[in-house]
Amino acid sequence: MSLVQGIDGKLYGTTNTGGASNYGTVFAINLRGGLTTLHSFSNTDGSNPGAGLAMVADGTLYGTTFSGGTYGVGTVFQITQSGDLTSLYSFSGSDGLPVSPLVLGFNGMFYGTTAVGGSSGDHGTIFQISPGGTLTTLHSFSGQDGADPQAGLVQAANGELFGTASEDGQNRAGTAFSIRPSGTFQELFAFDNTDGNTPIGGLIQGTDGNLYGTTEYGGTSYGTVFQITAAGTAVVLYTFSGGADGGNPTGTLVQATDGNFYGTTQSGGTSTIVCPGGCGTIFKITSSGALTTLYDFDNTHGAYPAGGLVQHTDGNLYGTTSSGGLGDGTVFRLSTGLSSFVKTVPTFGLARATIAILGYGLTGVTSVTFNGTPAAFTLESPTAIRATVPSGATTGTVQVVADGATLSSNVAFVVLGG
Amino acid sequence: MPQLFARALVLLGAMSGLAAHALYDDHFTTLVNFNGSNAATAVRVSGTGH
Repeated sequence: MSLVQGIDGKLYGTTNTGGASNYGTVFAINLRGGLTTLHSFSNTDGSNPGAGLAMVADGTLYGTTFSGGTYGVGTVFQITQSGDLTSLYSFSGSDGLPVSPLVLGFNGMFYGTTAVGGSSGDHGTIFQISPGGTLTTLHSFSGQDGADPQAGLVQAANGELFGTASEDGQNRAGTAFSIRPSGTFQELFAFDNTDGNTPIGGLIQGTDGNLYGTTEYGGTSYGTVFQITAAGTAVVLYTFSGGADGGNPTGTLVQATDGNFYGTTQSGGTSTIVCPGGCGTIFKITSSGALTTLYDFDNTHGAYPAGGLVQHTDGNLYGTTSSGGLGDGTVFRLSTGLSSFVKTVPTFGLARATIAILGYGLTGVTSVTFNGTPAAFTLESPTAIRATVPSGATTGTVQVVADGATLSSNVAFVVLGG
Repeated sequence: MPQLFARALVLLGAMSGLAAHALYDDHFTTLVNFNGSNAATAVRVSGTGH
């Protein structure tokens, strides 16, 4: 589970279990580690969320649970940052069982995957759900084109959605695919074990336009980092050894503001006595495949990080471990010296749309521009600006001048209809 | 059958054992320790049966 940064600068996430009824929670933490449980699932409103949250411009969060709800097989919910939860949809089984987080599409719909269900052999689905809770199954996996998708989708700059199916495919090692919001599906790549097997984590689109991801197994059995180029060529960037360099990555990568990719491995590292096979690692990898191990979990400070990392606008990386610490996992920060920046929520919009710009310690803001076009804005707090996409703006970097310093967005803002 | 993009695997030399280590132990902070009473972090869902 990856964390998401809220309008208030806190990090929001879910826990699989625990809470008042032990059905899991939605939580927020501030950057000093103060934990607030926003909601404890009751089972009737969902239980055991297995994925992170998606946020829209007003700060409302959307997520999934993989059990509970009306039929006991999962829900889609929304929750405000003050903790008011609304169940939007209860899965019934044939329409799936959601494991993935949601992603907000250009059209205002959310998209996600289910690990099982569908009309083609219970191999899982890709679905669209409206903010009001109307669900449409866009694709049912057949097995031949993949099965058991466990990761969320990523929306590329052209509006196309990309994802992974963790199993099956022609080589029975998982697939990568694209799907348009209209439902047009295309398998991009079938893993064959030598290049990776079981892509549990999702894909991200790098600033170079290429897709990047990880597989849990394959390579030499301990997983890989791969790149799929815009031309559709798959390249293995790194093969984990399962030793000191880590093994079995299951989280989605994040591209930080230095252009490098950061991720976690569930196993490997040097703490092999306390954790058989190692407690896992945090790594950095360049787009050309040079990997550096940044942190080696030792159980005391967490173990088995299963999710990906998020770069907060303070510049630091944040993540979770599924075990270790006092026994039930941790939330951690890794500082690699990167500077503060800004990110937009969402990363796209029409001219005259109001969006949020997240920052850190924002004061004295004198200018907001969208690819050079000045925008009207209001500084709401030290962590958020409310800005209007200016008419005539084009796709590109959003820049904020605060106290004389220029902060740039981590990804290009896509102006729709431009 | 969807048409697959061309497979052109390129191993870029970063195989096992060639990773660099630049451990950031001094830059790592544990912010929250979950202990059951306040919840447990999400783990992957395994074995969905395919």
